[in-house]
Parts: sequence; structure tokens; C-alpha cells
Amino acid sequence: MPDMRRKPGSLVPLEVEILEASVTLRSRGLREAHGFLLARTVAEGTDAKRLTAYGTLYKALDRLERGGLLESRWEDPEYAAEAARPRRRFYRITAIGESALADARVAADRSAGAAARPHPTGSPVR
Amino acid sequence: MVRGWVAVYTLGLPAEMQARRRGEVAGDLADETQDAMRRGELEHLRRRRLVRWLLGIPADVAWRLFEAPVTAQRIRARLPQIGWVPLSRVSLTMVVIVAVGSAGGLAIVTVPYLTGQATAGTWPGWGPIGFSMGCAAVLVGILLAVPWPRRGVAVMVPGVVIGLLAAPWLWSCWLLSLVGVLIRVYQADRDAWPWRTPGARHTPGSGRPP
Repeated sequence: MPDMRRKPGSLVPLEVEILEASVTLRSRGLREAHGFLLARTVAEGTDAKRLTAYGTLYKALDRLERGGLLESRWEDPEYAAEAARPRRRFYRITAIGESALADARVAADRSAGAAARPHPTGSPVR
Repeated sequence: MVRGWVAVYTLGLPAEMQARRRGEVAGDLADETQDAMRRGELEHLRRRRLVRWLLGIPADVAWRLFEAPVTAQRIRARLPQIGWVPLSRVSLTMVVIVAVGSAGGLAIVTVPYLTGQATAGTWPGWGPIGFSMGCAAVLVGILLAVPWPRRGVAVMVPGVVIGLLAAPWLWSCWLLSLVGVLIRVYQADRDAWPWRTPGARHTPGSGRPP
């Protein structure tokens, strides 16, 4: 049950980037992705030099999931055992997440447009 | 180091939440290592990992203080309450040793003072008061640890610190007291320890492991 305190539309930049990364990975054929892959995709998408910190990443993922924007599941332990590594937690964007991402994109476009548009009085837009 | 930190900040959360966060980070670390190997960047891995860990600490602390308790409360509300965990032979032995030792120490120091038989200058400064306080806290802590191990630790640790300050030469006794209470915590909450495999975790409500 979503219980995020903020409205689903009011996402912080990292949350938008995570949702963007989920959509990007899905377009590459990955319906769900583990935390590290999301961090790597976020870094690639934003040209960041370093990956999102562990705490920041998993806090954001937790919040997105509690808000119903992402859903997650543990990897099959047998598969992880075969690969000789710990189990991964896979995240997948939900319909609510996609809608929130679309809203965030519209809001970003609006604010970018407002910033670029000259103010009627000639003073800069704050 | 990262795993140790995760183990620390998830202490006190329901097993389900602990397992999840520890598992997520363990998976991330493994994937990060594989990724560094694939990219031929293994020599930078340690430094990058340190930076990722340090930069995430404020978020971890914020999550633990403000977000995790809400989820934890909801999880605890839907789980059946776990009953009392009977003492094992080892934990019973430690409880008895620590309880008898601390009660004995308390009696040896306080009784002469209360009866007026103690000579001045036997203990320097606030030694007898600190020692008595330490013994009393250790005694209460170890007895409290029988039904509520974590509360026992909460009382025991300050008691041991006070005792160590008052009578540092008895460090082995204070250490033994701490070991005693930790054995009880381990016995009662064994699945919460960092070296336990998250996947093999006992879930509350399905009965305690033998």
C-alpha cells in the first residue's frame, strides 16, 4: 500500500533519475533491474563520475517502492547460488511510476520553458 | 566495512527489514566488484566503495531515524508476538555467574558502608560509589536480559562503563558481564547478526529455531 508522504508527483531528482533508468533499461529489454544496475544506468544517464551512494540509492528505492512507483522481488536463490553471488533484489517501474515520471517530465519542461522565456517586465524569472 | 555499517544501522529493525537492506547492499557490493573486474578498474574499487559508503551515511541515518521506524511499526503490528526464548545451558550459566558475581561485589562493598564498618581510605575518590553503581546496573541488566535481552544490554553497557571507571583493575569481570549479556542477546535474537545468511533467516511466528 503506497504511503509516501510526498505527493507521487513531487519527486526529488534522484528518484526521477531512477525511474528514467528503469524505463531506459526496459527499452533495452530488461523488465526489471537490480540496485547496482540502476545506479550504473543513472550515472551513465547523468554523466556522473561516480555511482549513487549506497545509502542514498537504497533510501530512494525504498521510498519509491513505498510510494507504489516501483515494485520489487528477490531473485531466485538457486539462480544466485549457481552464479556464486548474493541474491539480487530486482526493481520494476509500475504504472503509477510511469505516470509520476511523465508528470515530472512535464513539470521539468514547464520550468525549463519558464526559465528560458523572458519575463514581461524584463526582470529575470526567479 | 560497508556490511558492518549496514549491520549497525539496521539493528533493532524487524528481521525482514534487516534481511532486505543487508541483502540489497550485499548484492550491490558483489555486482560492483564484478563490474569493476569487467572494466579493469579493480585498483580503484576500494576508494570508490569508501566514497559511496561515506556519502551515503547521512541518507542511511535519515532512513533509520525517520522512515524505517514507520515501516517497522507496521511490520511488527502484523506479526505475531514472539514468545520468551528459554535460556540455553551456556546463557543460563553466564547469567548465574554474572548475577552472583555482581550481587556479591555489591554486597561486599555496600554492606560495610551501610553498617559503618568500612574504613576511610579503602577506596580512593568515588570508587566505592561507582563500583556499587556498576555492580547494581550489571545485576539489573543481566536479570533483565532473561526476559528482554536488548533491554538488558541497554542497562548493562552503562553499568560496565561506570564499573570500569571506578574499578578498572577488575576489567576482566566487567568484560565477562558484557559477554554474558551478549550471549543472551545472541541466543534470543540469533538471526539478527550480520554473519547469518539473510536467505536462511528464521521468520518470527514460525517458531524459534531449535
